[in-house]
Amino acid sequence: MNFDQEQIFPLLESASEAQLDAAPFGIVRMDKSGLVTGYNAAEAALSGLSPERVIGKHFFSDVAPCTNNYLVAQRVETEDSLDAMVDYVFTLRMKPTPVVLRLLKSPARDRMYLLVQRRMP
Amino acid sequence: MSDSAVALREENERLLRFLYEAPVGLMLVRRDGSIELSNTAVVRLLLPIARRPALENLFEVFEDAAPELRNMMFAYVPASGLVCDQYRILYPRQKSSPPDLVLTATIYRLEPDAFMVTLLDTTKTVRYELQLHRSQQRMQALFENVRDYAIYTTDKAGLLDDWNRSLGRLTGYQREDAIGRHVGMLCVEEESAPAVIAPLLQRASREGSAEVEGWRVRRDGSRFWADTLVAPLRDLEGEVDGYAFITRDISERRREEENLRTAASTDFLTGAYNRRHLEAAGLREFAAHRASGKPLSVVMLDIDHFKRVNDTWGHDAGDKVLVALAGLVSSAIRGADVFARMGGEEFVVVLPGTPVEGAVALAEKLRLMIKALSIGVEGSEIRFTSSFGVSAAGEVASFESLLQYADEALYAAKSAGRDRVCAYRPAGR
Repeated sequence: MNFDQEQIFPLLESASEAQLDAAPFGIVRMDKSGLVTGYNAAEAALSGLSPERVIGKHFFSDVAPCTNNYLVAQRVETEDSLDAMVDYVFTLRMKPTPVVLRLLKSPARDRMYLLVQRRMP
Repeated sequence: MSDSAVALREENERLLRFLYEAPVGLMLVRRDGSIELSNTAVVRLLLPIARRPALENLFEVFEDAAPELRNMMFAYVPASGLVCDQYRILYPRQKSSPPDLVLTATIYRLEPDAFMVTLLDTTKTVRYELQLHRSQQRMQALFENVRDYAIYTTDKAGLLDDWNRSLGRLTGYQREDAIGRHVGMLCVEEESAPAVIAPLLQRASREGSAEVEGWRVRRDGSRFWADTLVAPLRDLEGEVDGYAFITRDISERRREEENLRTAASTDFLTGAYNRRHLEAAGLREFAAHRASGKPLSVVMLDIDHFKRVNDTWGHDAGDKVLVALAGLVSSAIRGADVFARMGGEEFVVVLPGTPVEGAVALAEKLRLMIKALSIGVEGSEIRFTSSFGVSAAGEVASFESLLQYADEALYAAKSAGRDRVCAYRPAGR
């Protein structure tokens, strides 16, 4: 799997946990209300948070409150269908780190994904 | 890993999360503006307004909204200390109101090349302030610019706690005269203020508002007739903690009403009361005489040969004579006496509390004064005399009879040769 691959949604949906963990970019799987149901190894390494700490929590308000604004959280909440790249900054261990977010949402599916990849500033 | 190393790592992580998730933006910034550390709140607040999706340099992020931050930090000399405290950054920078976003920044220099910057989203507070400011401005515009009204407030005890130009304009009081003084200073007598004001405030608290009309005093002692509306001001718990007053100067209206009343009761030419008022006043005085037993008398007078004056000098001259006579009589009687024109050249004076002797004496005095009067018309002097009939209430049945007896006495004076006073003598006396 590549971060910017087309038609990535079906691949993510059918991937096993091992396949998700093997991806070289961060993958956050959520239900439609924003509760985290999957958190892959790359994302855990990037954020320093273990999956156990994150799963079952609300991503935008509890896990990554820095995304709780109109650039990210509001888009995910208000748009029904979404496959968008957003340049963003995560403060990983208090260090501002440029990232690209890929937001995936579809009315046909019960799960949403947020993919995270570091980028050059 | 040793137990202590694990403990240290856990503590480190706890601290990190504490800073990371603080609901206040926290940054460590270098002198050149580069952002060394930042927590999530900074990203949430700054990324939407940053020109590009990067938070590398604070000066770049604030280049449009607050370029002065660079200078503030650069110009700050001490090695450590407060660079700015709760400095407001508005988006958009133009003074459009309300602002879309307001960030409040506090910058503290930790070491020569390390500044701690905190950011707070104070948009709601500032919008609320703006709203408050605007409504205050509106109130002030009202306070300052209303004419003929004064709008002022007091505390719970009725002490003036605010002064404004409307109050100054209406009452002449300046700020230093008014603040802290009892609102009763606007009443006529200071000693009557508690009796008037306390029930007024109670009524306002009970009923939501109360109104009172009466004389008020200006600083220079002059009075005006005022209409005052009082409404209670309530605190957040709904308890009355002050009062708002609106006082209107309605002297002019009152004067007009009085003029109307006067016009309805006076003779237009001479200013004496008219016949309608005479009858009303006569009935009142007769009733008072009946009730108290105090004397009451009436003098009726008529200008002798008035027709000749009119025929010789014209009606304007005749009017002049009537006005002059009315003025003379008015000046010679007391305030309680009622002077009225019956019609034509015939007048009546009702004298409450005066026995017949007093009435005769007054009539005699008036007779001499009128005889001495001379009125200049077209280079000539008009002189004239008048006749008087006097009656007094004794066994008289009504005011109407009293007038009738005075009329009979006047007829007797005319018959006896004019320019004299006759008193009515009841038959059999």
